[in-house]
Formats: sequence, C-alpha cells, structure tokens
Amino acid sequence: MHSKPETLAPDCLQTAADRDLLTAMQQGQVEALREIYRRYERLVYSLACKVLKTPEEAEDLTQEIFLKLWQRPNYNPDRGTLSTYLCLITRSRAIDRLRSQGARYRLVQRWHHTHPDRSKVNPPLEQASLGEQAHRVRAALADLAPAEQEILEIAYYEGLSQSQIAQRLEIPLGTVKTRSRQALKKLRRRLQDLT
Amino acid sequence: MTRSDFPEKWHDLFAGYALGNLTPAEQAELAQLLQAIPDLQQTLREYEAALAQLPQALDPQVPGSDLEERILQAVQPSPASPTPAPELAAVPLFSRPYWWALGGAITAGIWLFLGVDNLRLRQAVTTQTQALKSAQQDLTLANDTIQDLQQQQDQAETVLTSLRNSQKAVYALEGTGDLATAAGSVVTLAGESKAILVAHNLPPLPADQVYRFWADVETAEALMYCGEFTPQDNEPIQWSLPSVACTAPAAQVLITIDPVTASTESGGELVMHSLPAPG
Repeated sequence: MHSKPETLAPDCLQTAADRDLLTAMQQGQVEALREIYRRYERLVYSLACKVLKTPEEAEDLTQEIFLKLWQRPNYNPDRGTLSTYLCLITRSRAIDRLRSQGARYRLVQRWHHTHPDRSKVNPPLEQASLGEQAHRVRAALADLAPAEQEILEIAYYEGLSQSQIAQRLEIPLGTVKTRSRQALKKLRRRLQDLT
Repeated sequence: MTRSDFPEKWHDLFAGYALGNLTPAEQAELAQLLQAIPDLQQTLREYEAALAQLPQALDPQVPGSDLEERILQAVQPSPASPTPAPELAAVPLFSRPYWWALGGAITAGIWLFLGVDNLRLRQAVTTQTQALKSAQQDLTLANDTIQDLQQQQDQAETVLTSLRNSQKAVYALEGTGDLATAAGSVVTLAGESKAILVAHNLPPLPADQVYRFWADVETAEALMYCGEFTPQDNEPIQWSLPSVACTAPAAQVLITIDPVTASTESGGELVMHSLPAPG
C-alpha cells in the first residue's frame, strides 16, 4: 500500500525537521528543497569555495550537490545528520574536480581567487544555530596543537596523499599518519555530541 | 564494553579509516574487528562525522542570490499541458447587422490568432529553456570527463616519450603470496637509467617499508638491487636505476617488500615476479 504523500504546509517548512523536509522533497515538493537549500547553502558553498578556490566553480558545485539531492537522495538519516552528509559529498566531489583540473589552470585560478569576497550576513535565526556549531568546531580545532590542526586541514581540504603531505610539510610519512590520527581522535572526543 | 574502554589501537584504526590512511594490514584488521563487533560501525561513523564537521568552522560564504532560483527552476516539473482553449461560441452572424458580425468575427479571429501564437511562443521558450539547462548540465559533465581524460593522456604521453627515446626491456609481472592478485608490467630504459612500472592491486606500504626491484642479470652472480619505490594512486611509478647493469635484459626481475632500513644486499618478502617471455 502506498503511503500518503507527505506534503508540508508552507508555514511549517521553516520549522520542519530535516528528515521531514527530505520526505516532502522526495514527494516532489519543490519548496522543501528550497528550505533545505536555505539551511545549508552557506555550508556547502563555503566548503566548495575552500577546496576549489573560485566562486564560479563553487557555485557550480553547489548547484550540482542540491540537484543530486533532489534527483537521487542517497542520504540515510540513520547514518548521521544531513549537514554531515552534505559535507561528505561536497568535499568528495570538490576534490574529484580539483584532481581533474590541469595543474596550470589550477594555479592560475588560485592566484587570482585567493580570497573570494562573497560573504554576507546570515539570517539571525540560522546564524544563531549554525553559529553555535561553528563556535564548537572552532574551539575544538583551537584545542589542537597548531601542527595537528594544519595536517588535518591539509588532509581534509586539499585531498593530498599521505606522501604528498609528508613532502609538503617535510616530515616523515609515519609522522603524517600518527599526527593526523591523533588530531582526529581529539576532535572526535570534543565533538562527539554533534555527530 | 563501553566506548571509553576501547583499546587505543581501535581508535587509531577508526581515525585512520576516516582519514583514508590505513595500511593494507590495518584495513584487514579493521575489517575483522567490524565483523566480530558490528556495533563498532557506529563509532567508525562518529570519526567520519567528526572530520566532516571541519567546514562548520569556515568563515561563511554565500553564493550568488540567483543560485537558489537556478536550482529550483532546474527541478520544476514540466509545465502541465495547456488548458485547451474553450470552444468559441457560435457567433450569431445572421442575428446582427452584417458589418457588426464581420467586425466581431475579425476581432475574434485576431484575438484567437494572438492567443494561440502567444501560447505557442511561451511553450517554445519554456521548452528551449529546459533544453538549454539540460544541455548545460550535460556540458559540465562532459567537461569534467574531458579534463580527466586529458590528465590521463598527459601521464601516458610522458611515459610514451620515455619509451620511444630509449632502449628498453619489458617484463610482465604477476603477484605472489599475499599479493597474488597484483599484476603489471615494468620497463627498464637504458638511455635514461630508469624504470617505469604500471601495476594493479599493489597496495601502499607502511612508512617503514618499501618495494624493491631486483634483476637477475648475467653480469652479476646474485640478484642485483635495482632501486626502490612506493606506489601512488594507481599512477605509473618511475624510479632511477642505481646501476647500468639493471638496464640489461634480465633472465628474471622480482619485487620484494623490505624495511626501509634493510640492507640492499638481499631482498625481503617476494611479492611479484616476472613471467617468462612468450615464445
């Protein structure tokens, strides 16, 4: 027996849980996608900018991520939050793109777009919620030794292999593994309740 | 057992998994662990999720204000079939003065023509816009694929240039022991004193180990040490050959796994060997 389509009333969208928005979106409710986009556009776009460095490519990837969410939502709420899922697929796709770009093109683009100036102020409510989470993550990162923070960010945002990281930081390969794992273990302890 | 009781080694494996830097031995160990205690999947996901929190700390950036509408337009369902135009009421031509009926008919005809034409134009514009969006998405995907292929072509051309310009010996390799599924080919280039290996299923090694290449050449009584390498992401691997003798045709070539600090007088565990030349 087919379940009844779960369409959310327009005035419920802003307060609906992510899980309910996704269900409504899967039933074809475009406004549910709009609400999901408004909640996570900054997160997805900021991550895309951080990895890809150019606003144009970051916008293109942001569009791709939300269209894929609409067309083939593989997200399983039992495996984690929607924000975690979006970060996972955005990072994965961004690094795929980064690796597929020619080295010269990438260098030129990065030279011209080191600091994309597209930041705006978040709406107050969303800013409060995201701001709290951002504060927690920043505090957790600040608790790491600078070398641990650096290696974790290189590994996450640049998609370099362990040997490339070792070469970049001029440290032994074994140190790369030990240091990055140590950093992640600390981060996980600090953020356990957010995950 | 509670999570805090987990051995530190387990947490190392979870963190290494999330970071993608487990060695083959660690991967096997983690797989066994997860098979024995499926509940550990949850902890593994916590590590992945902790790493995925990093972007939360980024300074928020906002995409262009038109992106939202672009995305929503792309997912809008096709417009429903236009409502059929209502049938025109029969104009009582013969109940009115002729000039009035004629004027009415012309006016109605003009309105009908404009209405139908306008509708057709709007449908055409909508169809073209959707086709354009679809084509743009296809183009983006095609460009990504082209870039991937160009990168692969660049790598292949580098290898081919070396192959064209040197005297070479080619060996087909097969895996043995723990690496029985490994396979590949290695070429030694006399002109450049280097070797190029293309291998499949040759896993990365722990930091304290390295693959070493050995050749059974006529001029040496024992196997000759011919350099060492570490594989990287299924790309062709190149390394310098330490001796000219390594470029001479060899009866057999071997690959071993050795500690980085081990002497090059003799090899460690044998993992690949060359196949006899056909014919």
